[in-house]
Amino acid sequence: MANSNLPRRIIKETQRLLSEPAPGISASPSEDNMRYFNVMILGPSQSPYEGGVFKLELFLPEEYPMAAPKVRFLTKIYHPNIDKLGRICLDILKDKWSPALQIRTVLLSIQALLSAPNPDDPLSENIAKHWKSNEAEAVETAKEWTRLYASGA
Amino acid sequence: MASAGGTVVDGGPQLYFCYECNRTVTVTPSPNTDLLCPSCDGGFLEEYEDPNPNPNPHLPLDPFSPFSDPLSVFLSGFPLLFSSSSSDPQNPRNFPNLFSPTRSSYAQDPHMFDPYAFLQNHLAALAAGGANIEFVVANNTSSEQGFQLPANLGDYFVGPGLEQLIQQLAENDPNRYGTPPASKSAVNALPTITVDDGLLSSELAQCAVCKDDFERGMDVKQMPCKHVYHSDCIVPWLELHNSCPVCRYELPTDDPDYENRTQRETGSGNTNAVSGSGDGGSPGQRMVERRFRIALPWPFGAFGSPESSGSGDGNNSGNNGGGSNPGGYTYVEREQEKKMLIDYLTQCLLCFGWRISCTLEACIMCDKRMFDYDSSISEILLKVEEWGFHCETMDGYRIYYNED
Repeated sequence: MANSNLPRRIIKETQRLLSEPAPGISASPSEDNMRYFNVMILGPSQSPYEGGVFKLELFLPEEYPMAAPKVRFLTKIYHPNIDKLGRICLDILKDKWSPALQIRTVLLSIQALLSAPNPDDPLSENIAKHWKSNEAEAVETAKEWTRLYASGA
Repeated sequence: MASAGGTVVDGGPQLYFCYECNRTVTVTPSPNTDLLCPSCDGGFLEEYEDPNPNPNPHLPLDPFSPFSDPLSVFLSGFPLLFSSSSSDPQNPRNFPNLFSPTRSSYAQDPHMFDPYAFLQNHLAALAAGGANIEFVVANNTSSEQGFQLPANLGDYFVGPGLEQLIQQLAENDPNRYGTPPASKSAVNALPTITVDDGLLSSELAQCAVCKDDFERGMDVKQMPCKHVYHSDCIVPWLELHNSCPVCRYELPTDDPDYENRTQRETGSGNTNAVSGSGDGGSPGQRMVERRFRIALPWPFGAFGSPESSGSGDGNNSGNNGGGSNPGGYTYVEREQEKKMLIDYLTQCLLCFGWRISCTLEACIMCDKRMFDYDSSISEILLKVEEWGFHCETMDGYRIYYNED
């Protein structure tokens, strides 16, 4: 089955993610598919997402690590580089993927993206516009959404 | 009215199917305003026509009629090459016969943007400018005798075939993003070194691909940037991309376009070789050949091929769509259909200079973002029209851009 052939690297990565989780990040494989991870990222402090608990899903495709993991936010989030389907605009998930990267580094990059929204390379045009035209207000909306959707309740 | 390419003649109320509300609505079209659904104000309307009473009152007879010939309309006049041995590549002109006649309900209303007319015109313009456009449908498993085109190639693009197409084009290809493969000769030329204590005590003591520690005496491959990997780890990567996993140092490739481009970029920086946009300037002096290859998955496996395909070489052609009834539609939920259509159109637009960037479509030249799932189809296509012509340089996925 899907899990019988799990490459050693994935097993190692999983063990390390569970035994030494990165601060503010948890990732655990699903019971029936070791390539599918339930991920939680805490909103970084001093970002509009502070206090939020963001759920993501991460899937390691068959080609991994020759191809990037597929990652998506499940929690609604107001961020110029994340669209309403939760898709993330992050170069290392696309053309800048390298097999030297791993689940941990990908999740750390996503966490960093929450601290540093980049409205100049937007995935959500409307949010990016908002961000550029009135950053304070956009940040307020992001905080509001964090309260509404990511309160972890 | 469906087949007539004319205009809306009278001003009486007409039935439309609203793709937002998923039902028919009555609208009185006016030449001066956009068609809008009276209940949701959406613009994603299709003229509704019911020449033969439909047993299912909730569906128009041909639920996909505006889109049922996505390829045929704009492909007619362009060679469609089948890489299958069962096709007749010598005689591609046969294929246009297989497409049903052009029809597009968009064409009936001069105020609506007609995507296929637009695509066709744009393709024609590209061809006139020296572009050589090929559509390649790869046949991986189907047998010769099983070769059977559906009555209308457009049928392929609804149901499981469409999903396959989108999946292949959009998601499932690890080669889609990033740099091209390293050249075979460069890979073969990589020196093999033996792991010694010096290496083991350095920061290079672990293979960055498999994350295993090296062992003394082991043979490893060394990149010109000095990073070392197990041969079994680095070679498969270099077969996909030419970069060092750790530092992105790039090996030479066998892709002349890529090499030219990188040279140009490091050189004069003139990346836009085509003096695009229809100001009629350039034809003449320098003929620029632009060659497009769009690889589509083999569409006909699901359609009545006698199961001799066998060989199961693990590709994803055909047969995984579940119960496909031969030659028939698999009904796709409308919302899903709309989403797929957007995907599909954006995919098609790849060959006109657009590519996917960060899963959202953007032009590599002007870097404009185009689409959102919120956009209505006509909105999207108007944007295409607005931006399409100053985005002339090709890049990316299975699109080759040659300059001679």
